[in-house]
Amino acid sequence: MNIGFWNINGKKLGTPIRDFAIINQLDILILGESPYEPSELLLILNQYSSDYFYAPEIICKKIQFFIKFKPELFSLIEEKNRISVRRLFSAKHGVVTLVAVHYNSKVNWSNEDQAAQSLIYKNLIDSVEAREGHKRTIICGDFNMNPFDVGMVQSTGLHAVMEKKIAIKQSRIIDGDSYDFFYNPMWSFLGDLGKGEVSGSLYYSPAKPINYHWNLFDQVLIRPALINDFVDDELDIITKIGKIELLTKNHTIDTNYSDHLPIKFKINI
Amino acid sequence: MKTIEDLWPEDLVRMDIPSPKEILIEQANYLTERTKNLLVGEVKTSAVMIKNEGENYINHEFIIKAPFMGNYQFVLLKVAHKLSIYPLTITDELNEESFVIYDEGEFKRTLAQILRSKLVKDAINSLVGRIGYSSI
Repeated sequence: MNIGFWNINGKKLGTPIRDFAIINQLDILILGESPYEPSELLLILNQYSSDYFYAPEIICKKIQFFIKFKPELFSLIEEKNRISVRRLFSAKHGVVTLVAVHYNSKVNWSNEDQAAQSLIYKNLIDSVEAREGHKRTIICGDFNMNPFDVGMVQSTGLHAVMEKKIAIKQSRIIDGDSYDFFYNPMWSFLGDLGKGEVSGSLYYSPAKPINYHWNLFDQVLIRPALINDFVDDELDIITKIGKIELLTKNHTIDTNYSDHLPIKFKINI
Repeated sequence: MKTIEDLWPEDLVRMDIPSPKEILIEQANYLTERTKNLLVGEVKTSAVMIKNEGENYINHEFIIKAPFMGNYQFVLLKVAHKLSIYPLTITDELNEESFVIYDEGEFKRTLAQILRSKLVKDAINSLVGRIGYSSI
């Protein structure tokens, strides 16, 4: 199953969204900051076929899902304004939980605020996993945090680690309490020697002492139970859609499209 | 044997003042009744210790569940208070607003404001409509 996420920065990008979905054969297209009425975008996505359905939300208006199968196979489990939790039918596992997030921005929230809020996300995910009776969980979206930010790493947050070898230990004990791991494959993109053509999904280079230039805010995390199903080679930060270059000649993001680059991944479920 | 008199005050427990939890549970029950059990209101309570403040807080989550939609749920609002109850904080999760409340009257007024907000009405109508009984 191919899944793609793109924060389109409130822009009606039109055909690049369609081509992102079609070229990458996305079974699930997830959009953040979409200005579209779902029906409007559905007509664009289905211009040459009738492949995509819209999977409606109840309260989470910040994330939209377009799927290649009937919405009945992709039911809602729980939502908050910035998080949508879905039950995805899987031929291999029966069901898998797919969580999409659009986390609070660093513009309005400090790193400490984000870290504090990640406890809420952890509790929500733990609660869903307990109710669903399994830990086959995938989280993707715009976390507005880098993989190394405290909220992504701390045990009382998303607790996402950079190596499969660590994640497959399932959990670790701290002060008598057990904390489950997520595996975060996005660490692999950091730096010139890393995976892919870029080191992040958002380029921001202010004249301030601390400046990462590339930020890797758009990520996918998976629970250890799904690590063997995750196809490493299919994970990518997309810099080109057909003939459209999403990067400028200076190797920054062409914000005529969005200030974020899309990501895509494949999981054999 | 000499009886020792009851030294507790006569108004030790004031049964006439409903607690925030009781008020929330009543509203949850009204929701369940008004939607003919298509939706279920639930109040989940937990106690937490805020370490750096050294205080115990009691948190209540007002949850709306849709049993006919695979038990889909969302948290409508949260209430947090110390053992002394007031002042308490009520957080409207859908409208992303928090209010500090100083007495029961203000609590009821703010609660009504949240429950009657457009986003809440839209969410409930959307849920009920999705289940297929839009004429309740």
